[in-house]
Amino acid sequence: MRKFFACALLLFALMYGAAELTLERPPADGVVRLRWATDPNPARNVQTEIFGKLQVRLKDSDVLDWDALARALAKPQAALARFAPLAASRGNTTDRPALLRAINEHLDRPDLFDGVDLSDLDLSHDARLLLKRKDDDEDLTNVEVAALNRRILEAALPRVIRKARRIEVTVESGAREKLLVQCATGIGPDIIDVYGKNQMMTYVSAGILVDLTPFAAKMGFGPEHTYPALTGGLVVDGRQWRFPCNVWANCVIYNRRIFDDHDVAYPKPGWTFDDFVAAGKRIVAGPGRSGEKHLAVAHFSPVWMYNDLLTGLGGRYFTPDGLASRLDGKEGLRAMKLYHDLMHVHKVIPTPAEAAAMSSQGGWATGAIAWFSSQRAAMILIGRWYLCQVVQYPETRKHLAAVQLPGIDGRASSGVTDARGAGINVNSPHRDDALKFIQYLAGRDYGQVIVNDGDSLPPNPNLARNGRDLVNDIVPDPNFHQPFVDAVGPARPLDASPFIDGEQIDRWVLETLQKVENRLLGPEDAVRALAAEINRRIRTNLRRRIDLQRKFEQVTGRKYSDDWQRPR
Amino acid sequence: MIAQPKRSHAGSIVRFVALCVVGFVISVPFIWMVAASFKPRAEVEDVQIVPNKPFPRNYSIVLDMEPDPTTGRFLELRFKRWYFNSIFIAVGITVLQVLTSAMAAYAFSRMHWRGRDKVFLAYLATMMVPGMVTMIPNYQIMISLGFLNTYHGLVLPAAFSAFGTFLLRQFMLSIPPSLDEAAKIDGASHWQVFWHVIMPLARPGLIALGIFTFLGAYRSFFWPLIMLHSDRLYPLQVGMLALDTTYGRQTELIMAATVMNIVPLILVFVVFQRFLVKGIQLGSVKG
Amino acid sequence: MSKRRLPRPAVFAFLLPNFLGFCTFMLFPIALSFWMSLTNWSLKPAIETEFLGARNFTDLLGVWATGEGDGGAVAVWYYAAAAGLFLGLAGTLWAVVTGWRGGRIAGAILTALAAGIVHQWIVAARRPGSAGLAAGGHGLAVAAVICLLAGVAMMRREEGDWRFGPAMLPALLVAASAAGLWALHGPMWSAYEPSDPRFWQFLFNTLYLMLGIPFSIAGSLALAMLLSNPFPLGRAARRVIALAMCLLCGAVTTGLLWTLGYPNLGLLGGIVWLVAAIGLAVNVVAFRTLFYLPTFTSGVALMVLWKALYNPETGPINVGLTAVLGWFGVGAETAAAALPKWLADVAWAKPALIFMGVWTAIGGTNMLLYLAGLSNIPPQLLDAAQVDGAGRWARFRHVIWPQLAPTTFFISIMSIIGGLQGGFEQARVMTQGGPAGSTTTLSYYIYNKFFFDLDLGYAAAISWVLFAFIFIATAINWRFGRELEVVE
Repeated sequence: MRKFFACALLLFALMYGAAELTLERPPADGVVRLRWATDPNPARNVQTEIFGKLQVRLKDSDVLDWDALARALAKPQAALARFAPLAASRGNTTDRPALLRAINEHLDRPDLFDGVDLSDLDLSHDARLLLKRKDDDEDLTNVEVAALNRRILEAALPRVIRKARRIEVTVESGAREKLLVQCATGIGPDIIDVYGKNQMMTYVSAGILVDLTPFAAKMGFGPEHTYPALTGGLVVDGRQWRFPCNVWANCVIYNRRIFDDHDVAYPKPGWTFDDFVAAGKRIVAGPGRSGEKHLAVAHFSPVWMYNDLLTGLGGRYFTPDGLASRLDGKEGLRAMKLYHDLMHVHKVIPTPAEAAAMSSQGGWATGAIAWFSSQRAAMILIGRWYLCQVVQYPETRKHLAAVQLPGIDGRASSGVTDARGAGINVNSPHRDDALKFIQYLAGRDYGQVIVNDGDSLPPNPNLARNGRDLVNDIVPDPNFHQPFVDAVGPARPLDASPFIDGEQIDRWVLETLQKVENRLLGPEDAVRALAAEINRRIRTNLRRRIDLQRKFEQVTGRKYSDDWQRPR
Repeated sequence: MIAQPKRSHAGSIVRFVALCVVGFVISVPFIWMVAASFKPRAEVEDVQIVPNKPFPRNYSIVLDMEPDPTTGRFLELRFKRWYFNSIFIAVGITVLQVLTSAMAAYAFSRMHWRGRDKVFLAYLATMMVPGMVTMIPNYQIMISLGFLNTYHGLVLPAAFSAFGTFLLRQFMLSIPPSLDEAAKIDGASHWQVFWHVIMPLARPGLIALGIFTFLGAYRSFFWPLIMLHSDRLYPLQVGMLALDTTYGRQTELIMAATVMNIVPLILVFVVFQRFLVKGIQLGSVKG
Repeated sequence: MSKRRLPRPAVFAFLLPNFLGFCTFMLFPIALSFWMSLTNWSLKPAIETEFLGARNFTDLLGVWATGEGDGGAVAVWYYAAAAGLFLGLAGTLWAVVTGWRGGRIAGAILTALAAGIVHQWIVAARRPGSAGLAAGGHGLAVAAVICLLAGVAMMRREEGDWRFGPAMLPALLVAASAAGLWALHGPMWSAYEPSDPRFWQFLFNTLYLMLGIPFSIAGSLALAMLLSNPFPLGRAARRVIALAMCLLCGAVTTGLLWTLGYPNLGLLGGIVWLVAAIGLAVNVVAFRTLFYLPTFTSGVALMVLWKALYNPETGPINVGLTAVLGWFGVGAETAAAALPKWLADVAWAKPALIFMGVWTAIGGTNMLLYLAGLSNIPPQLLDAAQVDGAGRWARFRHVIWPQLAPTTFFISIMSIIGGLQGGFEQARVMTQGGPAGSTTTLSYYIYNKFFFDLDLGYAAAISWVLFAFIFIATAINWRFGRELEVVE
């Protein structure tokens, strides 16, 4: 018996050892690896690669001794043999930017130091690791190639080139729901994508984001470096918490072929909500000339559509002091009524039963997007990031056109603008390096990738001044991109309250919309119930949180008491 | 069996048929599961249960040995590692729990010391407390100790069990004390009495506890779910959830994973069946 | 053995690992959990821990007068009255069914209930603007007075003998009070609002999901009775012949239906024959093993399986039903619209989970316990009953059922305790809390509060409330389970 237990314990110890030893740990090579919690869009690889390469590119400030550099390039030693053509054609070191550019081009070449004897160079530890991997015939990423070359260059020219600080970004696209608890318990990522203002409010009130304000002006990623309309979505009480990775404002993208098929006129800029409904009704009235039936609107997100309606009507979520909900005001009720009518009266949006059938094709909401992409729906209310999804549908791309959201009740077109922004985890051990990444987001290199990929609008407004700036391979027509630029100006982010959790609001709005969609409640009753629940939660939060009571006093100037809602 | 007056053959036949029907109803989901795990993608949604073209490659796709034919890419889910994690964590928990419970049960049943019964009462009292009450502060403790997202964080809290102590104490109480006394007269210490007299006699209880613990550890879901964030550490149940979230549309892969998931359970069941039935009855009714 | 002053070192050596673990992972956490439930303990770095006292509990369970802040006291009485009503009704039914002599307890409950209702009516009538309340209150007052009298009368009946006849009166009164409370409920509900309505919704979900328990227990009992006697199969030779014939029939059925173009029916028919064959071979053990399989393999794997089964578009349940409806001429589109969406449907999600639960548990531990219980019934009783001319149903009702009462009681209490704590895995794996929160149980609510809102204090408070429910169930078991065992 004793032997049995002894053997069992030994077996367990062995397995435990094996398990621990086979856990992959990052190599101790001095490279700072930032973890970026974002979505699994393959474009992220390009974005992180550019960032990684930017860290190891030679910059003006990296050259400590220009004369020595000129001398070394003029008479390149064995290791720098490949730079010989450089010395011949650009030996003139007075044109420093050009020289740097040329050197950087060389650094990207994987074969730069092939066949060169590097044994007498004092290579750094991470360079040796990379070299060993290269010798073992392993594939190095582009960033690693550039880093290795840079290190060899540094070793070949000691005291001439400053040692680069290697920072690389790895994408983590796991479940978002665990993000808050991971950050709070100290195992979270370094850079966090924050989708929308409500989520930002949640993270700020949880205290997991770094206050970027002290660094923003110095490093160039303050709210003045992006679209003015977005400021409210980045700044809370004068403190900035994130910087956009991309900026969106919804427009209506429509399929010209389907409109032609049903003899419906194309929407024109300045069109109204009634035009929108009329067009939708024509499309669902019957099959088109080709005999095919089409959906009017591929219903992609109930919450976004409702928010656009609410903002288009000038409605708000909260009173200015944030202590009560204004959703049951005139505009909020009307917005819900419009939504309800779109689905149940005009039948322009599919009901949940139809939507469930659509979304059975995999992934979040890609059902609706897939329907539009496979030309089964005429319109979709979405941001420019739809281009990432339509890349695989070359047929559909030819027929796409866009127009701003319709104006409601005589008002000008106006919707929600918001951003997927990057913030830094307050528990991150690499805060300064993460700030460099945020700085990169504000730059042109990153912005151009966004423009080319069609991933909504770049954070840098100078890259999106008009439709022509945004032309890319996916849809080369500038008139397609123009409405997205126009939509940002009059749009604004949703308003939020410090007294209630932002993501909770999103969840409750979604539930309310589901109730209206399933006809469990009428639109006005649903909105009133939602507003009542929000007010109730605000009251509960104030009762339970002393810090919110202090904020209450700050906001209202009165002392807090449990019956503060009682009318006086 | 209950002694029955003589029944007619007709009654027996009716009984038999009823049991066959019930057996059939119970087994249908399992049959569908196995059949679906052998279906290629195109056939999964068919009414027909038996696949037209059996496709055993689903299993190797889930085990990441082959790419998925529809997308051409590997699943890149660490199914084999999850399997390994589950087994080794379950083994660890079982061994530790049985050992520590047996030793504590010995201390509670065979040794006399002041406060023994009061402490045991405390053990009993805590058995009544639902798991949720202790999991929340245990999570906080794990955070403070830095045990989040580690193997020891999974094994240690489960390695001690009041229920195990209670069960084994029941078994040990049923062993006549004359045996220990005989051993003690021969000059054996407590340690030797424990290993050479008590443990062999308590073997049915040990096996029953071992099986319960192994099953419980293999099936445990909540604790690994909140403790772990890296998928390298997931046990199989949490990994199944990740698999279902990512590839839930591909029913044939999910079914292959499910079959592989329950195979160890079925093996344990088949091998240890007779111990189980007795163990359940003894363990439950006494409670 | 003599007791020593101090525990010896040997005791420490044996006890220490277990005891250490026990203190660290059981005792200390229980104390910590209690402390947490009294504070706003949160994992969020921005929230400092502050002592809240009982605030978590009043926020969870409290009911306020609408728009008036803390009017909780009166409404607590209301809900206490409703709870007492439910208990009284349940107690009456239980007494009828099991012959339980709890007359005194029931009488006490009904008296307390009457007092509560009277108090409720007085206070409610005093509130301004309560004209509607007054109407319901009159009926309530009458019912309350009668309840009071009946309660007092029953309390004085020492040798309380519960038979179907006299037990009807209190049951009727309880029903009348229920009607009165219901009439009052509308105006009462709008006059008050719970401070955490989701708690009550999720409590309702938890209790709803426990509705499968009686079915599963009844099913287990039925199966145990079917399995309790091995079949008189006779000698090995006959068995082998019967087995071979079964297998042959199975092969023939399958082959025939397959060639006729019904492969599914063929397979299913073949399986029935196969089960029969195994049953013939191994007798009841085969069935027992087969029935135990779902319980044994239960867990995330089976839930993933059932999630796939219940899939409204691709799952075999709906696909099969569509095919069956197709035979009756119902088109595929109509069927697709008419068939319930199971886990995606607010109304059908819980019944779907209940069905899955019954399937899992019906042949499980409960059945084994019943088998043990059945084997403990002295055969003389049954023989005597048969000699007295009792039919099968009468034998069951008067001999078997009372003999099994302790087992039934134990199983019920264990199932109730399990049901109160359960529902987490189903919610997490299959429905994520269900369409519009309809499959969120209390344990899933705790998980959400704890893991996503990071509000450990509130989550701990909910878990203690859950513990209170379980404690009540355990206390009932401890108090009355013994009594049942002792009785026979």
